[in-house]
Amino acid sequence: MQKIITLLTLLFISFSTFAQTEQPQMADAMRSNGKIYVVVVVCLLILLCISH
Amino acid sequence: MHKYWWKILAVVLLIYTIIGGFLMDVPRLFILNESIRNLYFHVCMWFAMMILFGVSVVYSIKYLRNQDYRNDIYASSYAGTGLFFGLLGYTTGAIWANYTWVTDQGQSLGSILKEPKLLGAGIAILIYCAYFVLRGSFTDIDKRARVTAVYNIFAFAMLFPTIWIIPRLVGSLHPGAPGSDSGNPALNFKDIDARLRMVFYPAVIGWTLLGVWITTLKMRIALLKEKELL
Repeated sequence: MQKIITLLTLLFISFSTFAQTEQPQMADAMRSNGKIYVVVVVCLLILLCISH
Repeated sequence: MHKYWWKILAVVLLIYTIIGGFLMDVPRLFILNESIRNLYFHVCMWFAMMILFGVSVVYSIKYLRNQDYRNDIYASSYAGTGLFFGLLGYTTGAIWANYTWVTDQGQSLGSILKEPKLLGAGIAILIYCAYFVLRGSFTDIDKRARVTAVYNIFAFAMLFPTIWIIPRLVGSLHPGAPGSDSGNPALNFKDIDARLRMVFYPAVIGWTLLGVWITTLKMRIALLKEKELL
C-alpha cells in the first residue's frame, strides 16, 4: 500500500513538473485565443467613450 | 424617413461591423493573430477622423466665402468630433501595439517612442487641439470665426503629411510603410485581403456616419445656444 502511494505521488510529481516545463502558466489572458481579447478591449473602449 | 435613412444605415452597418468583424473569417497571420480584427475598429477611427476633418475644412472655406456664422459652428463641430475619433484611434492603437509590437515583435520602448507614425499622429492631434485652444482664446466672435477658419485650413494641410507621407518616407513599424516587417497585408491597399475588405469598407462608412450623427447633435445644441445671434 505504502509503495503504491509513493509510486502514485512520484508519478504525480513527475506529471506536474512535466506540465510546468511545457508551458509556464502566466497571467496572459489578453493573448489567449489568438489575442481576440485585444479586439474586445478596443471595441469596448470605443463604445464606452462614444456613449460617455 | 427621407431625412433619417442614413441613421438607420449607420446602425445597420455598425451592427454588421461588430458581428461580421468578430465572427467572419480573417487571414491567419503570425504576431497579429485574431487582433487583425482591430482593422474594423482602430483603422476606421482614423478614416472617420480624416473624413470629418475634411468636412470641417469645407465649412471653414464656406465661412470665409460668405461669412455665415452657421458655417463656423458646423466647422468647429466637425473638427471636435474628428478630434474625438483621432484620440480614440490613438488609444486603440496603443493597446494594439502593446500586444503586437512591444512584446511579440521584441521592440524596445525606445524604438516605439521614435516611431514616425505615432509621432506624426501625435503632431496632427496636437495641431487640432491648438485649433480649439485658439477658438477659446478669442472674445470677439467674428475674429474668432475668421482666424480659426484660416487656421483650420492650415491644420488640414498638415494632417496628411504628418499621418501618411512622413511615416511612408522614413519607414515605420506601422503596417503599410516600407521597412515594415510585421507581415500585415491589411493596410496595403494593393494586396488587402478580400475577406477583410468585405467588412472594412462598410465599417468605415458606418463609423463615419456615426461621427456625422454625433456632430449633428452637437451642431443643434450649438445653434440653440447661439439662437439670438443667428
